[in-house]
Amino acid sequence: MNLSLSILEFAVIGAGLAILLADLWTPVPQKRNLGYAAAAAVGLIFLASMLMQAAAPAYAFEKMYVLDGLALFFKRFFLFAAVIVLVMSVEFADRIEAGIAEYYALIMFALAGMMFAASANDFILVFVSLELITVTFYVLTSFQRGRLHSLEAGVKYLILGALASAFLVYGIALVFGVANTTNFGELMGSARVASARPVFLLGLLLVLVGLGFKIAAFPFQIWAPDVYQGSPAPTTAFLAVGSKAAGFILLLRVLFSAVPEITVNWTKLLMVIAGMTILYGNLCAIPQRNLKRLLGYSSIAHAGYMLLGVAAMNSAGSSAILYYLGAYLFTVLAAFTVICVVMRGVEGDDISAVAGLHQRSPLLAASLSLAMVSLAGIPPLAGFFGKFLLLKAVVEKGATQPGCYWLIAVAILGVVISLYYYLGVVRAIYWSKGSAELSDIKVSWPIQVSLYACIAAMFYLGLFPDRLVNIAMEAVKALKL
Amino acid sequence: MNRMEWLANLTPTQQFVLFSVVKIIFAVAILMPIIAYAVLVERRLCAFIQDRVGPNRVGPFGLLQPLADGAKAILKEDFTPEHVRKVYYWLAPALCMIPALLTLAVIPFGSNLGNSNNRMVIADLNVGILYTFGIVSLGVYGIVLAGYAANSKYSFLGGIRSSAQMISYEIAMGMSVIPVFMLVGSLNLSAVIDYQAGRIPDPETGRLIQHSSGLLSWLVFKQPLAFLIFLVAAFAETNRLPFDLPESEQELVGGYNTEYSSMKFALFFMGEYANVILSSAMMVTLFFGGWTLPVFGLEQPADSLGKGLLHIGIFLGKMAAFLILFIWVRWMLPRFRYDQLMDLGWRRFIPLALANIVVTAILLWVRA
Amino acid sequence: MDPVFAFLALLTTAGAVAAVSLRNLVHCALCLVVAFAGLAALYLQLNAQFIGFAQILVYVGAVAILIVFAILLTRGSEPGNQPILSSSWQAGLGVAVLVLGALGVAVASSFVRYYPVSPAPQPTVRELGEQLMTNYVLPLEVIGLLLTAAMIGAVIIAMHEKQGPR
Repeated sequence: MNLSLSILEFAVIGAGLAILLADLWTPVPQKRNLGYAAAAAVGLIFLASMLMQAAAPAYAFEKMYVLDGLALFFKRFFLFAAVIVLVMSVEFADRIEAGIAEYYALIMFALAGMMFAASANDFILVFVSLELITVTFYVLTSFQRGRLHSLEAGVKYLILGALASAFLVYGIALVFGVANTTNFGELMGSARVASARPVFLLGLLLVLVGLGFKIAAFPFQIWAPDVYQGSPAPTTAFLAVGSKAAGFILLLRVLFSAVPEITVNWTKLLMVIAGMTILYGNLCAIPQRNLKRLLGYSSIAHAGYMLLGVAAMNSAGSSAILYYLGAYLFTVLAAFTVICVVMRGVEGDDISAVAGLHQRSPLLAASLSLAMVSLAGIPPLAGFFGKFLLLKAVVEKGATQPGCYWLIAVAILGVVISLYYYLGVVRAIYWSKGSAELSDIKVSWPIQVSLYACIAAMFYLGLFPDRLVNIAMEAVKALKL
Repeated sequence: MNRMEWLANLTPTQQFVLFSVVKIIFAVAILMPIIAYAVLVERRLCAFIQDRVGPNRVGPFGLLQPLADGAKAILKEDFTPEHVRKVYYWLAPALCMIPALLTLAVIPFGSNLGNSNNRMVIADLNVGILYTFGIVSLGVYGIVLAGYAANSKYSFLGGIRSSAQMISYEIAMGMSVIPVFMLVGSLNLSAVIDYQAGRIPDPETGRLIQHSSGLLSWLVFKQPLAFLIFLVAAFAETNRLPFDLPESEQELVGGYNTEYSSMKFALFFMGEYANVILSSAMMVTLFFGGWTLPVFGLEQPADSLGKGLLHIGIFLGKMAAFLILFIWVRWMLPRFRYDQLMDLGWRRFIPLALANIVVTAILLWVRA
Repeated sequence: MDPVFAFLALLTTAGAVAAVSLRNLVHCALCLVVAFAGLAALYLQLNAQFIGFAQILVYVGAVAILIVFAILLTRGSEPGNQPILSSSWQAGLGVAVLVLGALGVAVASSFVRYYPVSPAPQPTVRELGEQLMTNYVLPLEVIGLLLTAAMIGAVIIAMHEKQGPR
């Protein structure tokens, strides 16, 4: 047993428990500042993770836990996302009636769950870490229980999440029943024998349903808009970035590390899902007036784009997913940070609330606009290069699978549709008339820092993508592609 | 021994069934009179404490009073009020009594009777304690359903109170015995008794090795805190004073059993006394050496019929002492307030029990 | 088919179906108890004593009684007015039949059925504990964290509004 491999997770859990304890001795007015302490702690762990190396995969806990390049990539990803989300929640603190320290701690527990998911090499750990993420998010979504929308989000997420968990665990039971093991490494050997068995395939399909729910892929996306709309903004941000990425790392591991022989037969299925998800997300986003709901639909569309990389079934596709997630991280966090600041005291998160934002705070206006432009995939921002890499991977696949060209057409159609609603937000910021509120918005320095960091990263990744692409290529070597 | 030959000719399954049936009949036949006489003892003792005489008219010293009580309960009109929910109203008293009887199955009430294969326990489960807690936790359904079925305020409040109280104290009770099983290394109740008699299984072979034993190897002296928590939780679980809030005659007019009469009413009380008896039996088994006594070689399993009966007698004697304790406490202490009850359970006993687990674990770790 | 298994399976399924289809919430909760108890009996029938009694202790004795408790405390015992079946119940039934059919065909066409039935292992509680504390210690601890998070969440959501931040 090699405990030192999971030192990062233990550090996060320890920091979370320390925040809970510190809450007991912190006077009420200072409680919100515990968030800065939490962010600092997670930031330190993030820096420490930079020191870790994973040239060769290292296993712990009877091969249940693996630390390889892919796991490390996602751990850094989650840690960075959590830092920004924690800073955002300090900004959000006055909108939460009670238990702000618990809010920080729960974010850190969810973070620990995501980091375990990144290292899961066994269906048992997959299930347990996914449940840790999901159960924590049930609470995080309904944290503003005084608001009807927040409660609605919590209840919907709870019921549909429980249903998805049921599918997942039923699928795992079928897989275990046939293969007599839950370990990904042993499944590889066992799946050869088992691949002929329909029960095994059915079990894997049910596992896919559970994971599809996490990433909000069609047809398991129904929960996303309502939950994104109703949850507190930091929760939504963490849900959009962290929970989705956790779903993707698990999807990659299950498909390309546990049962690669079976996955190759599923190209068409994955292509259809990817195409439908892109179309559904983009088409439904068009009429939305609520900014968070709009981002909810947009997150469905982005899950569809990333599924392109899964359907491509080559290392180019998988590394493109990693790159895309990196770009998506900064973009979405920038957008939600702005929403979190601007929507203070605004009921309904309507797009009209950002009208005239460039007069109230140029920084916020620029951040939100850049985020929208990046989400739409316009060069030279990060979002463009991500979509480019994904489409390139699908084109490579097209040589053997002619259907891929249809998929590319669908993806490009989706991008064109998305331009309409993303640019609609930008238009509202700069060119809308008759906005009632024109007072200046004060932006605290931690928020400024995180916004500047996000903007810098969006440009950096868009202009100099090589470094991240190389890291991603290196990371996906852990998969058997 | 011509008469015993047919016994030896039976298949093992038939023997098992036969002995089990005999043991069940025997155990229930012992339990029922104990319940009946526990009521009598309660009334006499309470009278003694309050400087009264108590029931002394039926038979010598009132010894036939339980018979009279039973006849009365059966002969009274079995009245079902109009406003009750009928199915649950009928079900509840039975549900009160059944778990208490089921728990009896795993209690080792003696060593054996001559034949060393027949241990005096109806089902020697290797998860005995889990069984006990599982079944005991079902007892609350009888009371909650009685409260719901009666469809009246007092009963309902009694039902609600009892479910909250029993769930809370189940946690403390369950946690309090964990250190005991950490020491013993098995969930089997016979193993607990063996441990207290100094028969500890060898880690490699699993065979029992006799260590020196004495009064101090009883778990009550090794785990006094666990015993204390278990004792108090047992009072709460059986709804006895000072924790009888589900009944509390003064405020709830009897609580969950307000709307009941005749034999159904009596069943609730039989269930309560059966629970008291079984809690006593559990405490004897877990903390007071069960059927053993550390003198005259009585800690060894019996090799003759007489010694086997003596073991059963020792067990019943220890149990009777606890019964007296239960009754004595009832007439000496006032009732707790509800918030005090919850405070005691959640903020005192559960942390204490957890600390006890950790301390025991550390001690075992240091010793190993 | 083993008659004991058939009876228990029928009881569990009937309890589960009744739990979602009855009108009175108290009845639903009690039917859930029947389903839980049936499941526990199935475990016991498979000689899995530990998990069987743990199921009784945790689900029948604690989870279900908490549900009953919560229903009695809120005024959920009065039947609601809305119809039990949602308007799209045909679609739901269709999906359910489809999944069941797929599973049935899959089981029937695979040779899972012809596996020799290996004797069920009968681990003692000590062996179970050793596995949980060595090979499966990570999932166990993650579940511990999960329960902590869930407990914090329950307290937060149930905390009294007027009290404000503590």
